[in-house]
Amino acid sequence: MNQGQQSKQGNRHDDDDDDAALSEFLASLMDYTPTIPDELVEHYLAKSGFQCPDVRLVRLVAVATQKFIGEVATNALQHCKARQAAVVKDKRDKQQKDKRLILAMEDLSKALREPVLAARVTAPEYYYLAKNLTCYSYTVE
Amino acid sequence: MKSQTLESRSDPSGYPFAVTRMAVAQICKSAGFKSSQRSALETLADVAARHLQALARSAASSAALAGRTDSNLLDIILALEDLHGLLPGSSTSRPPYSSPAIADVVRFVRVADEIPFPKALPRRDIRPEESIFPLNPRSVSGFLNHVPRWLPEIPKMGDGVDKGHHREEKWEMRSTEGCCLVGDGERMERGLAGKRERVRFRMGIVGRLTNGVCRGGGKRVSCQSWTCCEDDDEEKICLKKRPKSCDVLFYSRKKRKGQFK
Repeated sequence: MNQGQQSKQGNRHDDDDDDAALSEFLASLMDYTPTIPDELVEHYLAKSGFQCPDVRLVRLVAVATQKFIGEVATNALQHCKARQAAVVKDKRDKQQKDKRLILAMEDLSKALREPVLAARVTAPEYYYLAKNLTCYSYTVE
Repeated sequence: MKSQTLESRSDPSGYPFAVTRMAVAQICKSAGFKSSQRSALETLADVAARHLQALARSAASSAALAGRTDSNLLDIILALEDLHGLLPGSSTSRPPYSSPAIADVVRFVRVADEIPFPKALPRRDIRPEESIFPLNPRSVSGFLNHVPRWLPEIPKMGDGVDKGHHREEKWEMRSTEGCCLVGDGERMERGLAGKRERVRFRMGIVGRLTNGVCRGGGKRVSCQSWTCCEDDDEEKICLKKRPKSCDVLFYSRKKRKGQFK
């Protein structure tokens, strides 16, 4: 019984922390302007029956979608680079192809087929780090 | 309704789709792409639109299940988990505010740089008090709070007095912008709203006249504009002076061989 009560209190503490953290986050969301404009998000939300007077939740949905599309784009970029690395002939070709990173249907379809899960290595910090690292790797030749 | 139908929800030629495409292109550029295939960009924009709508729909339905019309944070978290799959530590075992779905979004906001949208969208300011339904007294007085907001007002019934005849006014009598009544209502002159530049057209053969024969091309229409002068005398003076803005439009027909040399 005591253990049950203690665990309940522990849960309540966690809840308060989470609530505080989330309300802080929602306040910080007003500073971060998502790439997808608010009006467009509101249009799609209204089209699907989502009703909310709170602008922060609209921004939350926009940010979640931006994160998802960013992850898909990063996966597609990795596929594109992997494909280019496999077709290297001589030095000049590779440097030319570096500038031609084009989002192609085949890379996009591969990226969309993989499940974009947060537990995988496509976590936000990792892929921002990875993007910087790959830039460096191409200059060292 | 687990499987989504393959019908295209977003019309590729529509305005919202074009805006979505622009935003997705910004995101791709920040991810590292230099350019993109058009079909790939449109596909990704379609995916973005579907993602938005799927989140919205599942959040709205979870709110409706709880008996609410407005969705809240909890609905959105559940919708995110529903869409992206359950991970260890999701809402089934722990309270939803600490779910990894929302934690990822928090991390993303903290880590990622802002990518601004390139163009400003015109915003139609729809304030929540103004509904599409006519002005209802419910918003003013508090005693009708039990009536839902979305019900329209009861239409006003007429008093019974015949007020139809006042609608039959002559269209000549009606005052419109840029139209002034001169004399009786039967005759009407239209005057211009404001002072406008006077435009003159000169039609004919304009070109180099050499020995009476026109050289250098076919028919031309020249148009010159100068400021309007009230008096005739002043107008003559104006003509002598060089007009400030001399826009000369040329309409040239193809030279007919044999007519001009």
